[in-house]
Amino acid sequence: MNKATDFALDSTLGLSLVAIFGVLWIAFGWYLGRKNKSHEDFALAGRNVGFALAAATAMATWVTSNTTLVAPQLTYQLGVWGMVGYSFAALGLILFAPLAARIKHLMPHGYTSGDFIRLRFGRAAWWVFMVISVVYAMGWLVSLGMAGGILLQALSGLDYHIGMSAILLICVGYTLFGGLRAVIATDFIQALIIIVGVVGIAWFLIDTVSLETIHTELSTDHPQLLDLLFPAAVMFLFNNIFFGLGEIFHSNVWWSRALAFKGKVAFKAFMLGGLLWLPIPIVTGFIALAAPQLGIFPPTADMVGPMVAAEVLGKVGAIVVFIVVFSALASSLDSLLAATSDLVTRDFYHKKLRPAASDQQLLRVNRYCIAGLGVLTWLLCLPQIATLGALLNFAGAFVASTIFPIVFGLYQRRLTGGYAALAMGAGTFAGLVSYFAIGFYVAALVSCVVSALICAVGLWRSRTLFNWQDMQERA
Amino acid sequence: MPNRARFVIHISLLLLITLFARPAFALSPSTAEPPYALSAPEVSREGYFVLTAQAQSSASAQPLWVDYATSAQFSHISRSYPWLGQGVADFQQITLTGFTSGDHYFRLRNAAGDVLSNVVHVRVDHYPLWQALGLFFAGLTVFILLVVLIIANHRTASRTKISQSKGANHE
Repeated sequence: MNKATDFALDSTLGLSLVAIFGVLWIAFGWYLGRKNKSHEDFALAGRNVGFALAAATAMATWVTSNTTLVAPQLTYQLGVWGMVGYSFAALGLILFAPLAARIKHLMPHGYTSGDFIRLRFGRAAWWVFMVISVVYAMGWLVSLGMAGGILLQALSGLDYHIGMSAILLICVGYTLFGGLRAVIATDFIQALIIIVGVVGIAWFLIDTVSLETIHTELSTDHPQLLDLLFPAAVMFLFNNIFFGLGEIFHSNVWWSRALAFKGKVAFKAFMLGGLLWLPIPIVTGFIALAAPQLGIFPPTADMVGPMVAAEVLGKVGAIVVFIVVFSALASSLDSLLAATSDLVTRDFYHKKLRPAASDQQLLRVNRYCIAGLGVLTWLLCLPQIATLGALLNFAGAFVASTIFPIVFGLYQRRLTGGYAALAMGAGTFAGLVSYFAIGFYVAALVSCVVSALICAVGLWRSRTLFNWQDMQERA
Repeated sequence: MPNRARFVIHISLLLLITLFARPAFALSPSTAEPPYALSAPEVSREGYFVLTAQAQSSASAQPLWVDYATSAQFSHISRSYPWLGQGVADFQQITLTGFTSGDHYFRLRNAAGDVLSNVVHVRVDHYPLWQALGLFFAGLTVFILLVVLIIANHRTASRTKISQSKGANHE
């Protein structure tokens, strides 16, 4: 195909859409935030979130730049296994369902994942865990900020820095006003937008570019993308599963939800959220397979999804893509801002610096943390240091090391803090070595395997039994 | 002129010519320099890679295409890839994907077919399948272990919780 691709939207329209959505979300966040009277209201939405909102927030938070930009990127790079493998990240939500029920049972008054590690494993493991959590949270925040910039650049040619700054400003704005209550309510609306939008885009794509022509093009000019024995893609499959499991099992984004959901809602909500999420990366990833047929070869692989959708659907399509991806980014960015600021407020400020802090002081510090995190993320996003996929998978080396310590910590009384700290530290180190020695598609797998082996040794050698009553800590 | 003297003069002139001889691009470097300097990684283990173009002083904003061939001579162009936007003025790189193991050659051209860059060579060398499958089965084993562990422990915890609540009701 001998055709150069132009931008689907002009930059003024792109900026106008950002401004309209920004005003709407911030106003909605302010409206919801009026009900927040205490720190528990702000951080955990009063621990009273019902089933519909709970399932929607689980699904929408997990639909993020990962799904809307990185799933097409990995499909463009790794072919069919890229999108199928990516959809297996739904297993993270599904397998977290029983863990969420257990968390709610063990820590009915708990606040964060850091609380659990501190009470269950002690100080050494807590420090290792906090380093992993902070690296992951910053990696994800930066990738989301970058995704906002990349999205606007791909669709309208607008400077990367403007799009990135705009999405950060909007999400910090409404999270600051509304706390977790605003995050969950906006997630519900964003989940509806994402489902309708993604299905619509896939429908139009198949209607415009037939499956047969896509298959012919790939078989002729890009055969590796259809090869089920594509070596790097085969390596990537379980790596992605463990990365997803590590992200969800350790992150306070999911722990704060498990603790905020009402009664026995957590198990069913995470299960349904996972099942709703499962087909979304297949649909968004499939979009990338049409790129060669349409003559689209992006500057960076993470731009392929929006570019293909905009090419197929024209200006209206580009607006739909913009709204869907913007919603997906916002639904994750706000959750991460809220959960990370909770972690800093609760684990560092309240438990380490000011144990006697009043409820209003905690509320104020939580808001400062949200604003501070926003500024720090903006600074780290300024240089576009890596592709989204590479940046996220770097974090995989860290988070996958927490899977087995958390599962054993929740159910087995024999795993001690020393072995948990060693498992997380050594797993992360091994994952990073494999990241640089082999590639991003093995880092999480290696990290998880090393961590699992150390936990197994810890269980085998340990003679002490943890007392579950020690988890019952009052705020 | 005697033949001997003529021979010496001819040889001297020949040597002089040889001494001044230079490749054409060495005598006028500014005119022979291609408008774009194309670069690429030497090896890709995954079949995807990024080509980067730097515009030289003589480059102008225009739509560009990347020609792809499996030989350095470009005797047969296998495929052309359109460069996004108005060439390097908008974006300096292009990501190509889905290549099998082997040697691949690329160069830039404009719509008229004029070659505008140097030729770059990328060797795609996929990982051996045994290595990939080894990691796959290691991952599968650990995953099955994890799922069994979570389900078994969840059931045990649920049973314990039920028996505890029954005990509390009896009291």
